[in-house]
Amino acid sequence: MITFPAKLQAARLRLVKTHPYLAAATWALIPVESTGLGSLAVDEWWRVYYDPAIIERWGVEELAGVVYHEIAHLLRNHADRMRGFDPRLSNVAADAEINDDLIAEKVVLPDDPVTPSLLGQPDGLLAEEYYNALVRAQESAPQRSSGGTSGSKVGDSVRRGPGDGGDGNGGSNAAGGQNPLSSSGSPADSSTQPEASSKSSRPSDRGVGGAGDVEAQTPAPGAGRCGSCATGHSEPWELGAPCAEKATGISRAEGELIRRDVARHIQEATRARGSIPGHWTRWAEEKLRPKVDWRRELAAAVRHAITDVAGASDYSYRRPSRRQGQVGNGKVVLPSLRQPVPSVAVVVDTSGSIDDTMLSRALAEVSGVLKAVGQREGVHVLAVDAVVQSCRRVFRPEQVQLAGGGGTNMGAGLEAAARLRPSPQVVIVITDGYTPWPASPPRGMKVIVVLTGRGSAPGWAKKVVVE
Amino acid sequence: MSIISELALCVQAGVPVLLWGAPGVGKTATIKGIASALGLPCEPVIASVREPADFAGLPVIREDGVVMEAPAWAKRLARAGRGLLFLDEVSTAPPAVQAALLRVVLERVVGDLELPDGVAVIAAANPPEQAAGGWDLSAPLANRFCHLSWQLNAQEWVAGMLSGFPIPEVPVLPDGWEAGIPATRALVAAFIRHRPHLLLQVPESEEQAGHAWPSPRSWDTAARLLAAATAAMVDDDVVALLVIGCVGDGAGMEFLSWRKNLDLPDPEQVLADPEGFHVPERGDAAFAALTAVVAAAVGNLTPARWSAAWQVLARAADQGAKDIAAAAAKALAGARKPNLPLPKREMAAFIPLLKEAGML
Repeated sequence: MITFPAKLQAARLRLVKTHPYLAAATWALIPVESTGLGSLAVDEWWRVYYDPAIIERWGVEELAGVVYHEIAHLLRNHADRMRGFDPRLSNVAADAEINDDLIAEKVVLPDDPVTPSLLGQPDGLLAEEYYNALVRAQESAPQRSSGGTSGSKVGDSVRRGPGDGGDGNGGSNAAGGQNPLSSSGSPADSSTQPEASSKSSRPSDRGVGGAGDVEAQTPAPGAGRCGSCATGHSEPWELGAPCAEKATGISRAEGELIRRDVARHIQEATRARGSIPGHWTRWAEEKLRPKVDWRRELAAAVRHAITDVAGASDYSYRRPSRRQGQVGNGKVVLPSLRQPVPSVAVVVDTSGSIDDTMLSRALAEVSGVLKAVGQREGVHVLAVDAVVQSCRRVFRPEQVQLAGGGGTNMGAGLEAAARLRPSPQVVIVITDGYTPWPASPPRGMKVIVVLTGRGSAPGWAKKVVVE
Repeated sequence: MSIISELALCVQAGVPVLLWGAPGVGKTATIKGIASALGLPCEPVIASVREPADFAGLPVIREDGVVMEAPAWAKRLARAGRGLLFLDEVSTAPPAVQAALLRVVLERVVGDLELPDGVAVIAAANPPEQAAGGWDLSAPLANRFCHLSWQLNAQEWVAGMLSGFPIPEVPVLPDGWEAGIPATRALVAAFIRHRPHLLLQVPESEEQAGHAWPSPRSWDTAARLLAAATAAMVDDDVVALLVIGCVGDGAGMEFLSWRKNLDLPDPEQVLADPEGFHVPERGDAAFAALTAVVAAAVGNLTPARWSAAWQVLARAADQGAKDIAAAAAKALAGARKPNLPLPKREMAAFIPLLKEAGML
């Protein structure tokens, strides 16, 4: 077993003490000593690269904070999520996603951590959202040769990339200057601005606006340079993918097992004590019970209902088979395959209680699904509150008029649908569910209830909840 | 690209495999490449333009009755004795055709013609939301496949466009790999004995029913693929994708983590012979092993077991897992009873570290 240096051991122990549910992830880290790195970084195979010199400089509490931060990258699977995006920007975005939660927990980090407010964004967004904001900021900022003029500080500082601070400080001060965000003039340290511009003639600054990421040499955990655990993009100091002969690492599959293990521990801890940070409870919930997208569920339900009807009578002797005559010398009458197009009715709840935006989202989705399965015609739309308000043969979401009546009775809508000719085999009801339902299903129709509210759907219908 | 290893293993193990991916990502080209790398003739059949009779057989009247005649592609495969049947566009095939595919996929029977054992079945499908007029795969058909998702890698594609796409390197199963099947079957059976509810879980939503889910048949397939993967000595990621491809995400992950814990030493044996203890190489495994030892000792605390547990922790610390052992030592020390001696010597090794971590 490869051993961590004593101070990192203490940091790991400290982290396990403060966050016992992260034990499985904390102990799984693999140490790699890399003298001259000037910092600490983690790659996507759960290897910790550390410079013994920097370990001595940081306190145990700061080290524990750094390890915690990097574990958050690994657990939230930033490597897979951000792969294929610009590594520099995605690292900043991923750090912003983590650090707002860590700062709320009062975790100490050595470098100036990237926070959403530094990016001008609210807390609590996903890395992908911060990434979008960064890209927008970069696009709107004019291309400049050196820092100094006004513009988007975030886009600029990120493009400038690392290196502008580190050398100037002799590479000795990890807490200052190295942060790509603080180095190019956030309002707080505008006094350092002239210094930053004067340094821009150094070779390491030539990457401005172009190959800015090439010279990424010094990692800055929590401050925009964490290694491939945050970006999925190998850095020059990393060992690369693990293989049998050299460089042990945690494979993707093992990483996923560790994630699930940690998620289970978080859930147990939540049940037992309930003092787990909210971001971990939410993460664990999502990990162990992934939400099914209601759009996919709705599409599958509609497809399934239509398939059932279409498949119910798929052979017919009404039209001869195209193989007639070839087989059995014309003595055998073969059936041909035909696909009846089921007729569909959409019952829309237009009563006063229904939420308009939810209704229009559900309608748009239903219309899209019906189009995709080839239901362009023969769709009846019934607008119903307590009684049927209108019935149309054309289905365009924008044509549905919200009558806004008081009472609700979807039973009336189902009865009216049953009286349509040709009678529909599939009925899709869009409602908030605050309505009486008939006790038994209507005959000969499959019913899908799309719930836009917290009401109920009958047991005999297929239910899809819009979230 | 890792998916090629999984595909090649499935083909050689005779497990039908279904490849999910968006249109235009190169599924067909890759499957043809694998066929030529393995030296197998490949028969592509586009399922969505076929009729059920093309798979269930055409009725032909002979003197002795009606024979369900197989189409030409099936006869070619039967003559060759081995080969790859590639069913493309399965998810856009109408439900009636999917039903006809059931016997072809699992039992390799087309009409009245039985295809030889050397014929492997690979199917490709677009996710229903991406395919024009796509259907969800019916649950019985979906359960017969090992499901693999196509992973598109932009960097590899760029490299391939610039310098040509390489002929895939495929792992080749050694002769006699099937000897490993009883062992993996026993493993799967032992797992199901612990978690009987995972033997059969028919998904509730139609969308999930069209993918991998656990059933007796898919567990059997998983055991077969596990044996193949063990014989071919592929890495863990491939094993994980194969198992999850058979029984689905939830059950598959549970099986894999159960299997991982099997490698841990038995805590009772460790306590009986603390000097022979070797700390597992991986940190999380070491932690799990030490926690198990401490839990076993605390569960039945005698002076002998108490000192044995401390010996184990001291050995773990000597072997480099000092911080992990310290966390376990804290738990063990907390369980001390008044009649037990304080293990001063062993504790002394951990105290500076525990102090520095703020745990004392």
